[in-house]
Amino acid sequence: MATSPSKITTTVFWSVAFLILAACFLLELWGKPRIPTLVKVEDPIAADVALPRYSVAELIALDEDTSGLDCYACHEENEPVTPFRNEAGEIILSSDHRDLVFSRLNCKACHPEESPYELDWDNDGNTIIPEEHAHLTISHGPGGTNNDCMICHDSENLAVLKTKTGERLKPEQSNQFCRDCHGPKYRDWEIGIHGRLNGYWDESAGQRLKKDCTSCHDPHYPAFFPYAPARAPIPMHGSNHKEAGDLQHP
Amino acid sequence: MNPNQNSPQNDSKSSVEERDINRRGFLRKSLTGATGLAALAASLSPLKDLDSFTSVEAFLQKHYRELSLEELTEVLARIESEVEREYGLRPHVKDLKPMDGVEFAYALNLTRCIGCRKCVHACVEENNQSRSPEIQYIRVLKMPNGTFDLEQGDHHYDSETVPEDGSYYMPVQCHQCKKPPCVKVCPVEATWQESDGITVVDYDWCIGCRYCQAACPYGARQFNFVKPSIPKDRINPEMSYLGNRPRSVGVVEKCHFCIQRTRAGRYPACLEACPTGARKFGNVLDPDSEISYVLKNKRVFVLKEEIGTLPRFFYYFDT
Repeated sequence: MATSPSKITTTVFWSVAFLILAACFLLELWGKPRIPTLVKVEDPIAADVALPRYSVAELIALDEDTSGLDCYACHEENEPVTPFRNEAGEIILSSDHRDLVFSRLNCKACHPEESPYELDWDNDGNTIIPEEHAHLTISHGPGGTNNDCMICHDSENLAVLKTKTGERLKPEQSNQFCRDCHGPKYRDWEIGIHGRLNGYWDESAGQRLKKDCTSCHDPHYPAFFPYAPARAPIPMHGSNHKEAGDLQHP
Repeated sequence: MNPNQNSPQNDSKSSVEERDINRRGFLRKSLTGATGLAALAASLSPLKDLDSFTSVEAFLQKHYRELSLEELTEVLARIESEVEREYGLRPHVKDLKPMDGVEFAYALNLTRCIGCRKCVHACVEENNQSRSPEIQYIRVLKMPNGTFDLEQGDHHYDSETVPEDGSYYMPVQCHQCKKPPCVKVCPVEATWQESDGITVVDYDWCIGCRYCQAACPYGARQFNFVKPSIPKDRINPEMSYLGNRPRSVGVVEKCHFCIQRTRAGRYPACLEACPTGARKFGNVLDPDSEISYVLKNKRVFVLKEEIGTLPRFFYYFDT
């Protein structure tokens, strides 16, 4: 008795169906979990608690190089300093003090040690200042209204700060000095609501660490620089919600 | 085999022809059967990739609040060994209890916030969140000046430098509400409010229904759709049961004010990383704390006040 064609068809059909099924399972042709976008781990510098500056007090405490702060490396001692002014009486800013500002920057707060920043030089051998740091040497107050060096520095001894009451303070005592003009801010800082705090909120458990004014603010340029933000969050499936139009509510 | 062996005996009138057909039939059937079995085996093959079954102890573990001290010690030891097996370093898993006379509150100075997202990444580092896919507790919304319409907030902004003119930045995280809707909806009581005001999640009790995520008006809760991936060298070994121990797939997690730090008296990680000091944290029951000063002296407001969640997270503008 010959095998009927319908039986052969059935057998072939089931065999092929099972084979396809087996291939699908083995090769995970469906049911494969959707692999989320692989996200590059953010550099730990983004979470670092270091500030991009050191105050003079911190530099001294860390036993860092403070030679850049020696006024009399360039200025003549016992000789009153008179800044250059234009015809309108405005001070002409000296870019020489840029070194002084730089010497107190904590470069490692933004530039990780593993990827050192490459400096560029121009044809004369001068360092090309990167755009992020290309700020004015001095701009204190709205529109630089307090740009006169002698508002803060003692003209007789540049290494000390002179308050309005004639009190002379060392640069590392900047907190006591700044309060002369910035009373309400100093009050807030003392309470702990202006500026950064680190350590312990519970002072019975540990120390509450306050930063000096000049740990965050450059006294010559107190406003904060524009800052490169850390990376934006990456959605699970790669597509930016904004691009996908999810945020376009009617 | 048996039916084919038996068939000639059973069928007394069996002929060579019929036996040939039977052999063909047998081959045919066994081919089909073998293919079917192969398909079955292949369909079960994903099971061999399952290497981390929930341990019996974890499966039989009681709810966190029903654990006795000895049971809790055992649970913490189990978590320590699990983390060590998976990440290759021995963590310190603690369970700090809420302190007496302490209720935490947070205030954020929107004038100071520059939108640098350092808080976001400090939080991720501290709390062992998944890096891929990214789970983050803080979303920094970039808002156009002059509006509080959260619909206009964008947390995917990718500016070259911040702050940008014409915008302000509003970080949003868990508000640790006094009337938390997320706790109300949890069908298994896997999330609750502690006496110091922190709403916590028992990751071992969570069933992953995501009701809380839907209930939260601030989008503070995150769900682990896949197994969190954390680089081994970036694990924070200081862990706590209700805080930053590594989560498993299928559970919800949220900001817990860095419970492993704040219950030990320290500031949360986001506050310590903030370069402008925009974030203020402390014990609101202590009249001398900086948070009490902010609440007494600054014009603070909360997000979505009208829904009555009574957040412990305040925003204010300052000069």
